[in-house]
Amino acid sequence: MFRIKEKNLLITPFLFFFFRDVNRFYKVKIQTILSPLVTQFLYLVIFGVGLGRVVKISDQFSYLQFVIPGLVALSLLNQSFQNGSSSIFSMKITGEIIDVKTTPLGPNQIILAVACSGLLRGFIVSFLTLIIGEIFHFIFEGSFLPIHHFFWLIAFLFLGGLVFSIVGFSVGVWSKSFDHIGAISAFIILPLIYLGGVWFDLDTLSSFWQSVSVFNPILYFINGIRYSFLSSSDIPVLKSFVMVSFSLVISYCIAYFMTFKGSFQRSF
Amino acid sequence: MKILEVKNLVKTYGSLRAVDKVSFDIEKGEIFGLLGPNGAGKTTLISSIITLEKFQEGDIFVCGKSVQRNASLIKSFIGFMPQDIIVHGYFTVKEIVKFYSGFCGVWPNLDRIDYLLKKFDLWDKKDKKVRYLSGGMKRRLLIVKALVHSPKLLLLDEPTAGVDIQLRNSIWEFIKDIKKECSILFTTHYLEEAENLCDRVAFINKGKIQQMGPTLDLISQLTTRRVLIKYTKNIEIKNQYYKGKSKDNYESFSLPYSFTVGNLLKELNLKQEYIEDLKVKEGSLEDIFKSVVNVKKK
Ligand SMILES: Nc1ncnc2c1ncn2[C@@H]1O[C@H](COP(=O)(O)OP(=O)(O)OP(=O)(O)O)[C@@H](O)[C@H]1O
Ligand SMILES: [Mg+2]
Repeated sequence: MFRIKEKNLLITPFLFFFFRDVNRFYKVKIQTILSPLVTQFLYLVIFGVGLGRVVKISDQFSYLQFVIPGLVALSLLNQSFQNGSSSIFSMKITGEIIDVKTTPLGPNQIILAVACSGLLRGFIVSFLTLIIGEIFHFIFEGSFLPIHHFFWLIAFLFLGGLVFSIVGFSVGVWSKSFDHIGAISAFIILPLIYLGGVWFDLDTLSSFWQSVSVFNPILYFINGIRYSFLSSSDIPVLKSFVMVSFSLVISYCIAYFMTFKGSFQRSF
Repeated sequence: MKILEVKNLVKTYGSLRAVDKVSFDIEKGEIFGLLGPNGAGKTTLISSIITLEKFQEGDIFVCGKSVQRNASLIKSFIGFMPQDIIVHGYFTVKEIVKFYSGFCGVWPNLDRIDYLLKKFDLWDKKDKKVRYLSGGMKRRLLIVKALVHSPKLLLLDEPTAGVDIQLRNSIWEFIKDIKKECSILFTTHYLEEAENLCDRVAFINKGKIQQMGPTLDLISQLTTRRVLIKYTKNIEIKNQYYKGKSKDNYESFSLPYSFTVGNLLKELNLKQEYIEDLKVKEGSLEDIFKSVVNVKKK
């Protein structure tokens, strides 16, 4: 009576894990989409507009113009990371992880599904951030902020969202408590994002922090995205692109390794 | 055709041998019961089959393929119901079943999902979140999930624990029904249930299989039939199977299955007027269970 019509062990499990994860963040959209937007809005009001009256970074563009791409990057990276880490971790809390472990879902499908849903959430929030930014720009500068290199923008958003979802995934797999996730997020990810040049130019840092920042992968994302808007950045765009692609490979390898080594067991 | 073969399986947790050199197999269309006290290693054994636990020695084959090398293919053949309830924070019953089907590689068959939800009496809860279900309902949801992708082998870890009597009966009926489609390995602490359902059973204790065989054969080989007779007069008629007097004044005999009640009556040479009442109590899996557990305690 009931026969398996089409069975596919590669695509179908991936797709449904992706659907599930998108559904999950969509069901708590106030927390996952609305509240980060409010934060971005406040950043724009306080830093972009308020601070923008006093701070001058370049002759070519205003501080508001400098900050908007930074905030687009910030919202993308942060939301992708949050999504990746909570996705697996919440399953460990509820016990749903057993559904993952007892079905044909393999590491690649899980990582890709989490990466794609984090990317989607990052995209949504950063796109809405961009719209809010454009409205601010229109109000205070009299025109919309143009995007000079649309394809670079897409490429950097795409890679950034993937990398940070995957990093978040590894953290979620590794974590044994909410404290672990909170600690990684507060002591590593957020400092890296904030020191990555959302608010300031690399030149404004002391030479010590400048040389440290070279190792901060987030710097390259933010600069790449900023280049896409302003056609100018501290770091050559190709270099940023190479670094970002490289971090995608590294983060994927780590995530793959984590699915075997992390606390991913029946009881954890 | 053998659906499941477990060969010399050893699973240790530190120094504890939770599963110790266990071997058995399950034929197509067979219902196999795994029985044993708490901590015997039943869940560990089932978890090893579904690759939740990595084992140290031996091997497991499902449909002729080793679970170590073909994990994802094999998991698509198996319907697994865990012992522990899963909470599922965000989703409704129907959503969970659909996602689960997808995880198993099968595009959700809505007809089948509706059929299963109705069959297991979850239809009016289908749009509720799982946390609003009762304990027994959550357990039924686990069974529905295990069946949604039409598996060839069902692993049910205590499917009827905490389920009410009426539903337990309908689960039994269902298990007998789907026997045509798939083989079933299940654990239970209700021995009567195992006796009713299982073609074969294995008793496991401290990680080792103590007894295994077709249910009826085991009962006839390992248990005795108790015959209780109440005499009308105060007479003493006994033979070698006599076990003493019960509280309510019945003489008790314990017969091996090779020795029938007819044989007994003939041997005792009882006149009919001496017999006021006669009761026969068949041996059961419970008797075997007790002897298996007791032997180990000594
Ligand atoms: N993750 C674990 N780490 C260490 N020991 C474990 C672990 N899981 C189970 N054990 C031990 O392995 C043994 C077998 O446990 P198992 O869960 O297989 O028993 P069971 O037969 O399913 O019992 P029950 O009827 O209570 O469900 C027990 O002694 C248990 O304490
Ligand atoms: Mg158990």
